Amino acid sequence: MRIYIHTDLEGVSGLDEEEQRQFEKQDLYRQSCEKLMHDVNASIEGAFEGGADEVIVMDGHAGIQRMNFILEMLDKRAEYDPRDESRWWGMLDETCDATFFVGAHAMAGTLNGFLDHTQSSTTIQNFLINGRKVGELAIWATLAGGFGVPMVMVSGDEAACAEARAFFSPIETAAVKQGVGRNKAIAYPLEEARARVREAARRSLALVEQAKPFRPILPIEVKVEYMKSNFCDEAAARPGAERLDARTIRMVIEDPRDVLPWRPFTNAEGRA
Amino acid sequence: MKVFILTDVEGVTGLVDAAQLSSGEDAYRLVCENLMLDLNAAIEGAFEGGATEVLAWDGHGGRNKLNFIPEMLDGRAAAVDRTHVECIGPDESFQAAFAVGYHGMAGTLNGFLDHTQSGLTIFNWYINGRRVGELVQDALTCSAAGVPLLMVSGDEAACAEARAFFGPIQTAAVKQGVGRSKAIGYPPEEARARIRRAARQAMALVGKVQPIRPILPMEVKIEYTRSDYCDGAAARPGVERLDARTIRWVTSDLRKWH
Repeated sequence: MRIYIHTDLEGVSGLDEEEQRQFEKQDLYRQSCEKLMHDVNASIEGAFEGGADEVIVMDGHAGIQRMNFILEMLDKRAEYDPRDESRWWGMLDETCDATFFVGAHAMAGTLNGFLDHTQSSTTIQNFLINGRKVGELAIWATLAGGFGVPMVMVSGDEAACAEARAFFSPIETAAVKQGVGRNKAIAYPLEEARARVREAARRSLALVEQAKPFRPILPIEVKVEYMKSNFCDEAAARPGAERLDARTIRMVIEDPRDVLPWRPFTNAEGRA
Repeated sequence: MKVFILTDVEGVTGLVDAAQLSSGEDAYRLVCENLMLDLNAAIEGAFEGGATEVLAWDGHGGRNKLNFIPEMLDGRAAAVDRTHVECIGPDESFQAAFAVGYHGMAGTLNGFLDHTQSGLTIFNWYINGRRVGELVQDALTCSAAGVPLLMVSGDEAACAEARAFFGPIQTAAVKQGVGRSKAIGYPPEEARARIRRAARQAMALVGKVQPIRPILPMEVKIEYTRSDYCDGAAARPGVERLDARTIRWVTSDLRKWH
């Protein structure tokens, strides 16, 4: 079995203060990246224990210019997927049997979701797929679903895990902390948290056969509500984008890879 | 007749690019000079229309940010000393309120620098379920003293908003927003002539227009852009948190919209 692991930073074990994800705070940020690697390795370990033959991992936090992974710390059995602007899904394709999402946070607007946001903490108010408010978990799952790949395991704060259970079933979740307001969390003891990640990963391999890919009905309506109208001024200029009001755009797409309306279209001509 | 003039900066004549507010002191000084010219046009119109006393309030930014240039203020008018007093609006001795230099509420298409109190933290603000902007909020403060808002100047979006909430009202549009961050400014002489005329004509409305009064008690609801902004606000006594980013309270005091 071939497992593709998508990662983010906010939902990593031991991160419990907002400033720990500030890139400018170099030492602190480095520690966060080390913690990320421990969670990633725990999920890799679990995947192999559960019967994976191949594991691919992507460093999913922030833009592709930013490297969060510390490659020398990465479990040697896993393959690192370098990101490429033209393929934000990296090497994920139909040959993968399942995907994990490690270090996840909840969607924008989640009470006590540690660092809750959807794609951007400064520009996006809400992101909706076929009328349902979604976060980055469902956005990734939609992409994976397009390749027929189901989401079977999520780790992150309690809010991210609750969100995962609301969207995906069956799913294995590993909660590593509890958000207290948006900018603080009570982190569970590291050993315990990482054991949970490993255990959820291991158990999730048993779900691969029965889990269904996350597939919103096609064509998919993507609606993005921006926090301010100037962010929308730009987004509304994209071909195929319909502006519903000062802060909202809507797009109808056929290809789940086009779910993020600021990424280049998979079809070079764009979509109407 | 006593007139209270509320002022803001975004809707001032000649301010046509958001960058003018962040390009250093000299650029900002020019914006403030334009504010004073707009304000003086409104004062001129008020006196032409029969005002006997005009008091102006420097309403933009925090308490420590002063935008008025005192030596430019029309000598017949006075300004509230902002370093000492919070804006409590006019008292009962006033007959009219004007709003000069205003902008559209958050979420207004082609509203130049549209926002409600904070472009960063506030997504929507509601009074009794209706989305409102700063025009209505400041008008409520005036309503508490029985003073109606009779004149508004700002961009086209602010003027349209004024006409949607207040009627009758005199409006003077000084520019047209193009997206959020740019505007097409009308020629300054023409824009200020509009302000002066609207102010003069507004004086004819004194005694004929009631201040806006929402049904009391009124429900105030604020939607924030992020849950951490709401974490702080939700801790205030009497405030109910509806979801991660929304708070609500109920009050019979027209000044308690914030």
